[in-house]
Amino acid sequence: MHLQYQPGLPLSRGKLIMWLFLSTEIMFFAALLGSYVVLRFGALVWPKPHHVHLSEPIGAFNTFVLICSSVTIVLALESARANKAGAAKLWMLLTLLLGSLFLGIKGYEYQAKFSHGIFPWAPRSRIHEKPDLYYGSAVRARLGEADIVDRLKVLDETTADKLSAEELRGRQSLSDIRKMLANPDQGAFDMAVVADQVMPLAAEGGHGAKDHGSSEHGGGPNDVFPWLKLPIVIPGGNMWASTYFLVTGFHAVHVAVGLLVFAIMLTWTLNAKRAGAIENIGLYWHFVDLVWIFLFPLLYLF
Amino acid sequence: MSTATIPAGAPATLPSKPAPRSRPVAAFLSTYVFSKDHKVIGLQFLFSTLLWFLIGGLLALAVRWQVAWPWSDVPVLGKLFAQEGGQMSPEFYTMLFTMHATVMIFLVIIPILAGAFGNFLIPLMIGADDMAFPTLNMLSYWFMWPAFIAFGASFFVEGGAAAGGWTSYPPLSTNPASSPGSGMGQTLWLVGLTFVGVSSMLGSVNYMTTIILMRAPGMTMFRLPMTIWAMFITAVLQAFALPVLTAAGFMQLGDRMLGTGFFSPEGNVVNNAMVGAGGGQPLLWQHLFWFYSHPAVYIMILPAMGMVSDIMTTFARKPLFGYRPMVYSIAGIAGLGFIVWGHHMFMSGMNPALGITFMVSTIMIALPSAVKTFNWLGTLWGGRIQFTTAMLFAMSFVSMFIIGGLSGIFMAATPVDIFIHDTYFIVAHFHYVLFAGTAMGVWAGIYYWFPKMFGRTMNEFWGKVHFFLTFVFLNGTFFTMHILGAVGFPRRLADAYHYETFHHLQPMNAFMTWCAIGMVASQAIFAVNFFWSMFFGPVAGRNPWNANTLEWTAPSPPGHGNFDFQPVVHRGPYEFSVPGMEKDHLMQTDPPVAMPAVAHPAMAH
Repeated sequence: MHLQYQPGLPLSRGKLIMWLFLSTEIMFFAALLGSYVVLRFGALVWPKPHHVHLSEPIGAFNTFVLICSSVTIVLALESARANKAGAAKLWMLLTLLLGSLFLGIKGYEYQAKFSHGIFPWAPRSRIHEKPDLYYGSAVRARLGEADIVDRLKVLDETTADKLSAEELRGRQSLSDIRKMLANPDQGAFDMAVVADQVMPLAAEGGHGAKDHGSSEHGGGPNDVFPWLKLPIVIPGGNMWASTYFLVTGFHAVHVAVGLLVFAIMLTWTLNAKRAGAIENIGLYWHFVDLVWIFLFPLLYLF
Repeated sequence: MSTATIPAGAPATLPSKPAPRSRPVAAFLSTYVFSKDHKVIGLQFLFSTLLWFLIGGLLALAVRWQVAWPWSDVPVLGKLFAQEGGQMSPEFYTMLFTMHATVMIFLVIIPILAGAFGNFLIPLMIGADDMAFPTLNMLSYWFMWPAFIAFGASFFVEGGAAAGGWTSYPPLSTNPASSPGSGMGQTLWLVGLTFVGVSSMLGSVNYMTTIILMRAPGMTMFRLPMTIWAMFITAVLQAFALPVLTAAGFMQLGDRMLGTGFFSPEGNVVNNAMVGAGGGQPLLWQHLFWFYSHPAVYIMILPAMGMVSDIMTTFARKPLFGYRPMVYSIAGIAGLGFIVWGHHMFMSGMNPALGITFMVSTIMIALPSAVKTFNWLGTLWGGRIQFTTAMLFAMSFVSMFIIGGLSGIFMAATPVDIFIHDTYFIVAHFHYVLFAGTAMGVWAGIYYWFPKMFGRTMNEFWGKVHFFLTFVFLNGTFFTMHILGAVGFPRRLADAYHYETFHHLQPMNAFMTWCAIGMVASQAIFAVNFFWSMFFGPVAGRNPWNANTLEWTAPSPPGHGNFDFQPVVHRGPYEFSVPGMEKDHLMQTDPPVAMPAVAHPAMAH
């Protein structure tokens, strides 16, 4: 039989459970962000954004994209409430596209990290914490690998007129590196020089923030010769990578879930009957947006 | 039978045979396996958790065996796991107590309280036909199965199940090289934990929505039975604390599987090899873990407190002493429970100022707990007590909770904690709260609501035998642990007799193990009583205990949709022995009655 109830709040069941679910999500991200803050401020050193190929303009643009998608989902809700199913579908499609654009940009950013050897997991990560003897032997080991030896041989035998200025510089610093590593009297300081040759961190001024091209490190050999993949030194870089991929990864998973729901809802007729459902997914989407609003300054600006 | 508002001619039970369906297999699956009915889901939780209760109990017996007679051949388990001719290894012992705690906490206590009783009772006691989201509710049960499988399978993988303690402190737990159980077993442990977390999260948001939006007309928040208040506040705790552990679990999985370093300290050397890049903080795990697991302690007792309040009022035939203080004290315990997690970490080298803060907030929990205890005593005071099995268990819950609560204050005080930390005193404390407290509350609940679950009552005589044996044996097992702890007998060591100081404690440990064996054995009485009564017990009718709350107005067992009439609530749940009334209780649905002008000698002056 159909029972009568005395609701304690003037909310639909779906809306209430969505709010409650979002409050559990707040605690989930609070734990992740809290861990990030504890690990970051407990660390002895923390890399600057451009050391780890983090570009503020790209992050800011992505923030803008996500905020726009929050606007479009509200417009979808307004259209659905006015019973304009076609307009609602259009706005929702736009939200889906903006969300996909966000993920696409995020993927491009991830790719930039991966191509520079910044991985969250140990065997593939090429980050060393300090330019010590372990680092030296890692560079030596990489240079001694069979295919690298072959390529270096080809590179050395190429005549100078066939190489660009950048490649010439890269070849020069590579031979410097090899000379230093071969020096039997090397001291600990030499490793710092090697590290700086592989990835010149000192050149703070001109790049990183401005343009995110492959040449931003002024021709470090890793950038000039993508096949080289020499180990790099970024103090604090491993913990940075761990936390960066943790928080942005879980955020991206939430974005992807939202996109999946949008895709399912696009198969519906988005009239006034569906306004409640659109409002609930809209709440979720605003939450995902809000998490990013916290992530962007914490990761890119501080 | 007092069924004033139940329509005349309504049968005591619903017609037991559903109409025959054309596809019996599909009908069976949708009725008993993938059911969306909260009662079936509640019973699914109940049976699953009781099965794990047995497994957890056997693990505990194996632990006790090693503590009492170290390195002697284990009777049954030894052959099962073929540990060098029946003798367990230290690693196996570590695995045993880790998995005992894990199974009991994550697969028994939390799901039996929130999952079984929460599911079964919430819609019935507030007058709803089901949960707000039945499909979600079904999922919350089926998300337990990956956890069951992960924890169960972990016993059989290489290196055995997790052995880093149920707290899984890094770096012991994060590095596979640090102990055999830190291999695949630990990974499966984390996977299982994540699924338990998802299940609890789905359940808790559903419970809150149901309680807020689906109460019967007239059922205001302050007319809710204590059980529902306790379930509601427990759901809040689960919803807000558990995501933190889920996040921490993902981070530990990352450390183990991906090579991240959240919890790996600088210069971490395991088995003569450098581990991880360093820079992580092992203490961060402890903070995240206890931020969940301390509120979880209250998740593990508050529902039992609520159920015991309802059972005690029914069998004392008296209103609950101080209803609102009881509600506020549960809320107070839950609120304080969020800011005391650091008392698990007094030995971790925390800032003394922070330690004192945690000490003070922890001791403050004694206040709402004392309010509850005195109110229970006040409820019993001057009542006409009926010593049913459920009442005996409920009363022993209160008395055992007093012992467990008082020993908790020892631990809360930092200087005392430093002395008794990691001794058997702490083992005594949490077993008094969780076994002598919560498990007794669970039995009280089973004996009390069994008629509503299956339409028949359990056998009272064998119920009392079960009670007395369990009560005596549990005190024999756990009270002695206080004494062991006070002289410093360490927990978690496979062979504490390695230290000569403890040699003389072996006979005491042997006594405790015999008591533990007796305790587990006496559960056979319960099992037989449970299944026998399910089929052959006396038919109960709608309201066998003359209780007041809404579930007793529904048929036993209630059919799909629970109520065969619209429940309308006119009063709070504890109107027992109302002065001037003929019958000694007024159900929540009974229509308003005119009170006589002078009702009671106490009111006459």
